[in-house]
Amino acid sequence: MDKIKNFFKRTLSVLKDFGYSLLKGIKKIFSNKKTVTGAVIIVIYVLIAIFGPLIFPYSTETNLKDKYLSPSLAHPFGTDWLGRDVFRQVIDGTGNVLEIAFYSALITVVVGTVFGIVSGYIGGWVDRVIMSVTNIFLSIPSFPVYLLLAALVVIETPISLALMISIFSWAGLCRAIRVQVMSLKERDFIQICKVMHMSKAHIIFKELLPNVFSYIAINFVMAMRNAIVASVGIMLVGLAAYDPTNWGAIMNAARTKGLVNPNNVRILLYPLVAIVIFQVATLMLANGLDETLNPRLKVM
Amino acid sequence: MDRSPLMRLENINMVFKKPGSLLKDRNIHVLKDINLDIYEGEIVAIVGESGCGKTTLGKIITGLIRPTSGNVYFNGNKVSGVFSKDISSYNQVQFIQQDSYAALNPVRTIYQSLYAPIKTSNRKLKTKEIDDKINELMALVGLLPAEQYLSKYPHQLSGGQRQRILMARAISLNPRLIVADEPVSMIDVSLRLSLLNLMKELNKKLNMSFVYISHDLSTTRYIARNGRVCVMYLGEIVEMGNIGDVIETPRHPYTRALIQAVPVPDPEYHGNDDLPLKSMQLGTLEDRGDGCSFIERCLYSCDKCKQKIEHVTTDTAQVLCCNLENVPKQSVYSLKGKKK
Amino acid sequence: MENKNILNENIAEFKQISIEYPLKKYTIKAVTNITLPIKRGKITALVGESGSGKTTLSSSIIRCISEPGRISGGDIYFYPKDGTELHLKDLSDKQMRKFRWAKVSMVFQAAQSALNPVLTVRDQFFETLQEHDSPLSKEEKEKHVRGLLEYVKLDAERVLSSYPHELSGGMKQRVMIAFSLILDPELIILDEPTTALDVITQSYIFNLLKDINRDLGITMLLMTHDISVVAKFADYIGVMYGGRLMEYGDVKSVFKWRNHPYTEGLIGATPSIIGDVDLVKPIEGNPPDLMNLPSGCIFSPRCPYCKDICKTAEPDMVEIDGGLKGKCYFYKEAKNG
Repeated sequence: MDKIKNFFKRTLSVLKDFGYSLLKGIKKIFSNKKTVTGAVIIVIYVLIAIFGPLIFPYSTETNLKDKYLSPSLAHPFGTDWLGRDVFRQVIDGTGNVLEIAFYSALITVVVGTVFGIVSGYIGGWVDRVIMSVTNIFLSIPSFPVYLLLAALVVIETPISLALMISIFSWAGLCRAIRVQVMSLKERDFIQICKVMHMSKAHIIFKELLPNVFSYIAINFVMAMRNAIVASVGIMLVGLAAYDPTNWGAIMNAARTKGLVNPNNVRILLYPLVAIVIFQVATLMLANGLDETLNPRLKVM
Repeated sequence: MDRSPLMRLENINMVFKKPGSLLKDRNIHVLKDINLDIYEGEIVAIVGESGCGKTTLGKIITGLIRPTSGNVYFNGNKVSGVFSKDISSYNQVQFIQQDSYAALNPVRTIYQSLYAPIKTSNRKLKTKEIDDKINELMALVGLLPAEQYLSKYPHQLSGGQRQRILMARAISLNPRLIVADEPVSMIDVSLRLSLLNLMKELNKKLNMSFVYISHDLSTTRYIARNGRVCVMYLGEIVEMGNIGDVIETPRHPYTRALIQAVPVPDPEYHGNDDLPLKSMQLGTLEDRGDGCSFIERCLYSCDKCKQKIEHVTTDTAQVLCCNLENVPKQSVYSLKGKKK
Repeated sequence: MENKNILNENIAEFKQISIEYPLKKYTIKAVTNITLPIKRGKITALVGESGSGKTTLSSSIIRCISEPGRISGGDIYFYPKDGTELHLKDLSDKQMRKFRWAKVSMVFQAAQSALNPVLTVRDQFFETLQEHDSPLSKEEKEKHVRGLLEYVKLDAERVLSSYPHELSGGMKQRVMIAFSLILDPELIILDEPTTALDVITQSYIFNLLKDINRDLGITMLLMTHDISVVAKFADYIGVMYGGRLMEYGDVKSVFKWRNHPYTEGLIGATPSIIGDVDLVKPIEGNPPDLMNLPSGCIFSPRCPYCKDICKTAEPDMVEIDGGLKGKCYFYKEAKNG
């Protein structure tokens, strides 16, 4: 009986400690105004992406008689050349854009971190091979390759588009992580791990990774930002127009229908503003995280 | 001495290559023909200026780096570095570094930093047993109550406390030899002594051998007391002997200069300001020949100094000098010249 | 010549000076109510452990206290050769810029970071001369700088065209010393000038500084944590602890009498290469936490002679014969006993 009691007591105290430190960490992170503002805006975007289409369902139905309507209560952003509601289009596209950004950032960060750590920690010929590969990816101009890829494969899911974007974004992160790992591995606390015969897995996951974690978190946000620019760009030039409600696709449609028509210019502006606000939010979040997590920027 | 040494270093050489001209790399000869025996339970001090190779030697003893040539024996068996699975030296040599802040992972708590090595060394141990062991270690290094320190991060502790944590971590794996590289040079003066006392106590209580690396002869004399000292100059051991004797009557011209340069905490003592040296310029480590490396700074150099030189055994020490009979034999007191 | 007679025997004086660091949540008192003379032509050493406030105190002379520190009370007087009296607190920032380096210069611990890594030594010397409107012609400047470098026993030809990274630690520190002499100052502040250097280099540097002090008559204020260096080098000593001046006097008497318990502990805790090793003993306890200072005498928790009165109120500075001053209730008695 006592044993069980003790067990519960210990578990409780461990949980309490963990919760406390978690709370403290969260409190610290959100003590920065930029971080809070950025995070709130991003959360709003996510909420719109999840619940928006449920409240304002979008239909592909065309209604030529209602084309190019000015903004009104029924159509807050007006309608496009096929009489479709632009407001509902933009809301429906949010999820798609966020999905692409999230997947792309995830792929970038995972691939970049894994190769960066391997390259920096192991060194030698492994490092040389990985570095030459990143050099190739960093020196090839990305857009012609997108053109080529778009011609070769059919892009029809957010993941495939995210993959395409990540091809060119992981290399930069990989190099940055590598440099950090290289300097960390010469530090005294890693040297002592070697003297104490700790396993490589322990050194990498328990000693090195936590030290670059804040850097990875900041880069995740930045990778998301880059992915949105890239995905909208790709859609805008019509390289992967698989989803008509993607913001890039909306802009592309408006563009191809001729910007002489002021209605098209207006339609073009809505997704553009949505992108700009999201960009600002991600930048604020990244800068805010950098300020709180990066010890070199810490002020008294 | 007929006991066999715990660790034996045999003709250790360490050469780093640096890119030089197009055709040839520059060879930086950091350690040259080091021979050193370390016995069970003794304190060996290694003293020298920065750049003399003392830290490199320390890293070779802990197995962190492998010498370019020469052999390291532990307990009579040849060993080849940290990642070899030599059972004979496995975790038996530990390391205490100079910068206690850099030696602890900043994002891990003290408890985590102490727990992991013990767990790794013996997977069968239960958490309860490891906790007991950690509490025991904390008591041994004088950090009580232990709970007050264990949940903290390195930056929340003072330099002296962190240095004690490093000692606790070093002895946690029951090593037989601990290399301490300038362990007190970054610690406040009033706390240094208690740390040195702690090391001496561990040495006696647990019969662990210590290699104490330092540039400071005063603290070295305090901790090594009856132990041996190796004075290093440009990667060579120029004088080795009982620390009391070496300080009392230094024989090598370099040791003499070193001892005269050390300030004494007594204003009555500073008579002779001019060091017995020709120049203050350190010699080069690059592409070294056989001759004496102290030749450019030595007041007593002769023609023989350019040839290969050997250690000479005097009544107090082993000295690397070919012209010893011409070097004046002067005690530390007359070197210091007490002013009246 | 008339001036000489009335020239103050001190070159500078701290009067009741307090320096604070106001932070977000609390204020750190780095220096509390210190009165300290700096004797003209002598070497005064401030000794103390990290956090004792010695660097803050001395950098206040040339208004170089690191942010957000500020002087919260007291004043610093400076008595230049011309017989005037300067209240350093009242100088405008512009006047201070003129005053700095021309009257008081500083040699830092990290010579590496004090020298600009992308300029040659020559450029740095010339730039400083330029900034202070030196009336010298180009040739005269070159001659002046060369003379200084040769004075600190450097090969002027080589050093002038070198970048800082091409020089060894000892050479850099000597360049810094030459640099501090460039405008012919009256006082040089030395902030741990040899901490990063070897004992042999340290010995050379201090011999050099002593020569400068003797030959050029420049006053020096040395900050160090190493009491052995003070014994070897200084004429006067100020012992600092937790932002307070605990004892002041001439080096020989302070070392001989060891009147103040902290000074006694500090000297007693310093191992030497001479004498009985067994007599060395540590000071118990930990250095004071500036945010949570003990009540009464701040050394009382570590003091082996602590009495009840020591815990109640902070003692005043007591002066005894021979110019020794100490902050301790039993300062005089300790000497007699």
